[in-house]
Amino acid sequence: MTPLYQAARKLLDVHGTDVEVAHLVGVLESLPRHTLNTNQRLCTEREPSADMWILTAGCVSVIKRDYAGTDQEMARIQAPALLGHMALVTGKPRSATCDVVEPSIVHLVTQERFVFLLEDLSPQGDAFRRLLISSMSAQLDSGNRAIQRAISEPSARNMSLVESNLHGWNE
Amino acid sequence: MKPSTLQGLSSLQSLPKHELVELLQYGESRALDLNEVLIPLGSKVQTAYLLAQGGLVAELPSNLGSHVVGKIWPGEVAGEGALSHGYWTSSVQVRAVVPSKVLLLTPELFAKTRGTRAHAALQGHLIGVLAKRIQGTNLQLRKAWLEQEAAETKAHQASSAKIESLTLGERLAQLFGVTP
Repeated sequence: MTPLYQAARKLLDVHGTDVEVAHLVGVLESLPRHTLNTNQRLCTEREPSADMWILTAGCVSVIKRDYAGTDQEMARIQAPALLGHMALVTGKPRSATCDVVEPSIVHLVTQERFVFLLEDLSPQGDAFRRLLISSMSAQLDSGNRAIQRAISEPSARNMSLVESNLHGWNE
Repeated sequence: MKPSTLQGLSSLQSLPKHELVELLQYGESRALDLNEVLIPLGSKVQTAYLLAQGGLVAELPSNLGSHVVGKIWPGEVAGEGALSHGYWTSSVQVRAVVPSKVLLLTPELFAKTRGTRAHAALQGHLIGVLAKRIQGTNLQLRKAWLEQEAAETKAHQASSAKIESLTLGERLAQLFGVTP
């Protein structure tokens, strides 16, 4: 079992998606693969964005300006995970900064590839869309749980944590 | 439900009629009367619903009446939790405020239409709907924070020892229909 297959399987398990692992592996294999070093910056908050990534190895730190204007680490995301997809879906600037905290591997989904996958009728296109739907639905769910926390302990950090969770920047 | 009802949804309007017919053939639809409850509070929901026509509200019923926490417009989805977990325990009641029509987004619907343009268009539509919901929730949060800041500034300027308005927690609870 290859590391890529293991990452794809884990990603599908996390999101409870009954997609065939081979189809997601097919998507990953079709994407450019980048190796990232510790401290390398993947994206910067409030900057325009045109890509998303699928993290298949390693870990990134998510830093976000909180509601009081202070930059704070909101989460450390371990592979496998989808990163930066919300900016592609909404066309809005990045909602957080991502720094690599250990050597990592990402598979790049450019805007062009993203549009292709949204319309692709093959099982790979279906696998990608189902993963995205499942991830975004889970984001709403975890955002709602974070809202409960912000209600009982209102603070600038907890408000920003809700936003992070809604955008999928959570562990 | 007629194919033309689904064609009213922008993401699906480019689909040929026979593909919409196929969606309706495999997807069960349901008509709701005025005030009919689609999702009871606390129920275990196994299906998400695409509102094709009409209007729904998400609300918290109580003895004093109901507190509306969200409105669902045509093209939007109720019970989206079922899309990721396969089931979802409803924290609100969803009720029709006008006669409405919904398409049940069952696993069977997705399985039987897989590989068609209608299937991909429906998935694309759901991605857009979820993104809109996420953005809407973020806007509500920002609004609550700004209102709180404005209220605190006002109270400070008035040299009031105690802020008379809502706390941030109460503001959020009211917005999202949760007990603080």
